[in-house]
Amino acid sequence: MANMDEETDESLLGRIVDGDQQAFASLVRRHTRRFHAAAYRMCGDGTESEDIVQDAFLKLWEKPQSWNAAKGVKFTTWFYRVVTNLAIDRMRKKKALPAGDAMERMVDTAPGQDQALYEKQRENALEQAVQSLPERQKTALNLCFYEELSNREAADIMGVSVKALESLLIRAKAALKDELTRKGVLGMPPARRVSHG
Amino acid sequence: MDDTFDIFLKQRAVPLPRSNLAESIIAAAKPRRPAVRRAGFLDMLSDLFVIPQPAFAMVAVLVLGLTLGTYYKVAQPEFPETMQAAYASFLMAEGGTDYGDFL
Repeated sequence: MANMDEETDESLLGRIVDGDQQAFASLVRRHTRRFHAAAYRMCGDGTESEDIVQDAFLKLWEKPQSWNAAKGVKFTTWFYRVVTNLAIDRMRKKKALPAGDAMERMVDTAPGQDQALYEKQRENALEQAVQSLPERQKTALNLCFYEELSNREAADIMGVSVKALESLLIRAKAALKDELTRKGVLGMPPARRVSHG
Repeated sequence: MDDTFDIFLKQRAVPLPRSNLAESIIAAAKPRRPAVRRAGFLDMLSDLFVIPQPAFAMVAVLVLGLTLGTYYKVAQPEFPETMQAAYASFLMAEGGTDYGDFL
């Protein structure tokens, strides 16, 4: 038990199949933050992403056999797929944020906080631009660029070829650049961006 | 320009999950699945007799039975004449016996 933290994910999963709660707890503690970030990047909502991670782990606990060691897939690769699919399902059910909302939210804050406001606006604009990407482009960008998975792994998770994945990535970045340029977020100095009068 | 853009993209922030998220997941999982009972001696014994493919096993037994039944006649022992004679004499003797002899 003392070495549980050093055990591989796959070894822990073998014990989870036998109903070992300690092994499950160890796996959850090890990966919650990572998969919460992945879920957040997909849905852009903190509470929602916590629910997604919880659902994913509970599904794993209830049906650990759904991860098949014989297929030779790493646990994390398989679990990214589970989390991504759950996030996509939830996003489809949820109504999308209205355009421009993120920028407008920050306009009427107190003066003297221009730089912080500017940074926050840029963050919001970026988040909104990412969230408005087509589903597959966003998934490709999140897995490769933010989660830093290899193209091969990301392609496996998405069920596409590496070529198709690379194409999705290029299109995602191009769309983001267009959108952020159109909104004036890229290359604008803070003094011109934030004005209250 | 691409590097600058990538650096900008990397600034995308992710909020931390609530601090007890992992523990609440673990707590929520506990009642969801009963702990697996350790296999006792009887379970292990019964596992030894589990037929992996019952339908296949039944068909195999049926075919084997038909084959044996067709090609191998079960030896019917000839009733030996001496035995037959002994049996007849026994019957004769029985016929001539009065019940009073036994009583």
